[in-house]
Amino acid sequence: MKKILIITIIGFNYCVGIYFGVMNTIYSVLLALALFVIFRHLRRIKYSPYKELNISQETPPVTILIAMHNEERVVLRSIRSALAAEYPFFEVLIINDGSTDGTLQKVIDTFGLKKIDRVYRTFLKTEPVKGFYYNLKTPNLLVIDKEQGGKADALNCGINVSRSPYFCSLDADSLLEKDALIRVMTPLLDSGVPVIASGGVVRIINGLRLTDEIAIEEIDLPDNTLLLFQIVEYIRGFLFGRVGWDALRSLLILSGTFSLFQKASVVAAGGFMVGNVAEDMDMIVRLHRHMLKKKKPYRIRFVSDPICWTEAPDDFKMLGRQRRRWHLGLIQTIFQNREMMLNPRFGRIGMAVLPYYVIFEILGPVIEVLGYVFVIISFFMGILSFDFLLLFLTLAIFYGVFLSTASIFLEELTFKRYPKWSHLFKLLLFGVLENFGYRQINSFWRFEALIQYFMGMRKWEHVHKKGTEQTPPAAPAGA
Amino acid sequence: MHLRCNDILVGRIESLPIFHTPKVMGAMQNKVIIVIIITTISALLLLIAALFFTSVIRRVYKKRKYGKLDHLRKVFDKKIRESLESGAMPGMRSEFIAPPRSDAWQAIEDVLLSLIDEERYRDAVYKLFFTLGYVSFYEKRLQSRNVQVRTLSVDMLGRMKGEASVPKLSALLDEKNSELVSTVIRSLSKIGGQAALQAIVERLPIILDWSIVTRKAMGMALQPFGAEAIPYLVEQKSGRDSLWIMSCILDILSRLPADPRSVHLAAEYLSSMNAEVRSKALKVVGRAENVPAGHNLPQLVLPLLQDPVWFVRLQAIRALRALGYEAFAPSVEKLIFDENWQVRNEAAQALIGLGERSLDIFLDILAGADRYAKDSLCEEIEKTNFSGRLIQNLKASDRGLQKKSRRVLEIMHSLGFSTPLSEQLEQEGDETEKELIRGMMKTVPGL
Repeated sequence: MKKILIITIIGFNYCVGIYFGVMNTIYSVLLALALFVIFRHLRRIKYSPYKELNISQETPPVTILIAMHNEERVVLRSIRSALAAEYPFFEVLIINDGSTDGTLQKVIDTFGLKKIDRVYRTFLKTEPVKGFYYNLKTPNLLVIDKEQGGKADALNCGINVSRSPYFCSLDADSLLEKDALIRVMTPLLDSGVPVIASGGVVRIINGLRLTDEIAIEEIDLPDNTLLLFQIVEYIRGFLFGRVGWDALRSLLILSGTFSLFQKASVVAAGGFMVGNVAEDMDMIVRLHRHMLKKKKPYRIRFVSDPICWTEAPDDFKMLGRQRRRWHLGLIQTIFQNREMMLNPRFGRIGMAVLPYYVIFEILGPVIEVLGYVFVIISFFMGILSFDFLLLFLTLAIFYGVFLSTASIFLEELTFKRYPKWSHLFKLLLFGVLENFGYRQINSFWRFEALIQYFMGMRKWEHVHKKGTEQTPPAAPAGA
Repeated sequence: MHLRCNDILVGRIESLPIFHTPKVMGAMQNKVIIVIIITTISALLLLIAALFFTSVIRRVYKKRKYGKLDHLRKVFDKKIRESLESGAMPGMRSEFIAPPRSDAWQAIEDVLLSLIDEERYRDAVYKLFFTLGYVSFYEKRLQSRNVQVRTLSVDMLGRMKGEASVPKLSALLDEKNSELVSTVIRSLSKIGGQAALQAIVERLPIILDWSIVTRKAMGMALQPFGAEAIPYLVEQKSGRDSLWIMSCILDILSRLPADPRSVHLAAEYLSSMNAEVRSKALKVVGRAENVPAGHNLPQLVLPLLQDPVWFVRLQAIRALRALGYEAFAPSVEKLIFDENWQVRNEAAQALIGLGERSLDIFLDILAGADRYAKDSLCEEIEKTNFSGRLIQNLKASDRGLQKKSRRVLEIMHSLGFSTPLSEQLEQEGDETEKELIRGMMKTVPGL
């Protein structure tokens, strides 16, 4: 029995060694690609036509969709920043998804909206619409009040009402930089192949000082440790993760916080999937599926210069909810689209990207937890080499620190949104510290999500938004 | 927020503490693994240190560089402005000569680029660009093998607005890189003038036919030329056989100022076989309200209200409205029942634009059986606030108008479009009017 256990442990060790090597090789390739692409992009941006597009009639109209559910503390900031976008032709559709607090009333009062009657045509099936609110003085703002159906349902409702060929989904707790919309639209206009979706960078708003609700006065880092870890994660995720996948034409995720879609393609793919807790990832995967099935040429792009700021959870409870939801959404999406898995018909997405997500993203926490179990077993069996364990741990941590440092370096090269010396050192420090505890907690949440999925607990865990100091709560009820 | 767990690319198993069985491995194999791990750790450590120091050094360097640049920009801005104002520029040029790519070179370039947008300085600044060697520097770089260097140089030459660079830039229009060609088109547009316009228009058919990117660039680039571009576009002979190119030309013309020549050309193409061409021709015609084109344009447009393609019908309504042709109502009425919602909405808007004169048509439509058409009309009446006018008409001295307005409002209420009436009741105001509304809402059940 002991012999079998030892053989199992050895076998597992070899598997993990290979797993670790392959995964980090992929990350290194993504990092190298990101470096190359960002250098190239930085040069191209000097002659990019986005400023001309801003006044051009060639720029197609866009509808900004903001789904809100109990967001009274933050939603005004998001609407105002959307209305302030520098873009030739756009409308803002706010979809109140059955808020039970004062969200809707706050929006109506602030913008002096009046109820109007409008015909609601359902290209995509949604929960019933209760009413429309409009003010001739702000002709590009329309609020739709509907029964609660979830974010995907709210977005589908917005698509039904929208009259533009493109729409941009924006979270209700976000702040869009003025030129972000035109910048995220640029690849759609600048490409010979139809670009059906395009996403920009999402950054953490906590710590920012705003002059009014839409302009950034000063960028600072928050004092909260959890937020600092997340800032490093976001920089890493967006500046080399997405850029790298984009270079490989294998993007599977665009953040629903801020992404642009071609409406016709989304409608043809069936709209956002109600019931999937990661409607954004699901949408991108189904867009790939639809276009590849139809054998139509298309691109899904990520652009590293449009920026949208969003609020991040600052306590463990909310962060845990968010991370479990993300992982649950990932698993749901992969399972719902399993037809694509290892199917040559779906090209690199089916043959490489989806298997990567299953092996390295979904199974990652399982292998990690198994690792801890095997360490304990090995310890009690007396076959654990502390020297070797320490060496492996050191390698893993150094690789993690290297990736974080490289991402912060990319940030320095590109936008340098954190300009102070203290910012640089803090970010570098937290890039090191996150390896000691924070990552393990994240893995635990992801493992929990996996268990939740197989136990059928697939509910959307709502993350409460606190709002910034510039948007004080109007009512004590939780946002 | 939807940064996904997979965004956070590292940290999956780096903390996996599981390599723990060297006792059962061969000693040799064990040593090799340890050597590999130690080498990798050392390499990573070096890389981390390198990245850290590069970030720090880069910050220090950039801070110094930009500090110096800011200072130089201020100094040169003052000096150059003074020289330009005093007209003493020729004698002072030596003061501004700097080695290419030096800080002073960059600062002078930035200052000159900001000044060239001021019309009064344009010629003098270009002369400075020329004599200080900027023009020749970037023109030389047009020969580079690196397409980014060439594109950047094209952009810079465009920003310098020197007509002398037009031949060199025009030659690049024959390149095969769409990004480069688009930048050339934009640069030529910034430079402006006959030569630049001619260079673009000469290659128009090829550029329009070549790629979507260059076509969009062309659409944008010709707008700054304004009316100046019209004769070139109208007289463009090559490419006329291609309906696609013709549609692009008409589209560009529809964005330029209204001109009899454009309208004349568009009128020729109203009967084209291609729907895109017909639609773009209608866009041009729709801008011809005060342009003597020598055609009876409404009569040419009216048949297109029955066009089999929806966007042609849509453009036809818009053109008739824009032409101020008020006799369109009977023809447009049918389009309220169109299969396409955009056409229905446009027709409704057009009829509402005619005001009370359309009331009979409204009543016809609202008395009909087509729910979709009725909804579209009610929606537009409410959206355009025509409902407010109808409510006002309830007190009109003209009994006919009063009756018709009341009937429209009643039907709207019965169809669920009651908000204007309810709001009127909530507002402070004439009690007689409110009584009328209450009575109306009582007699006709709402949805």
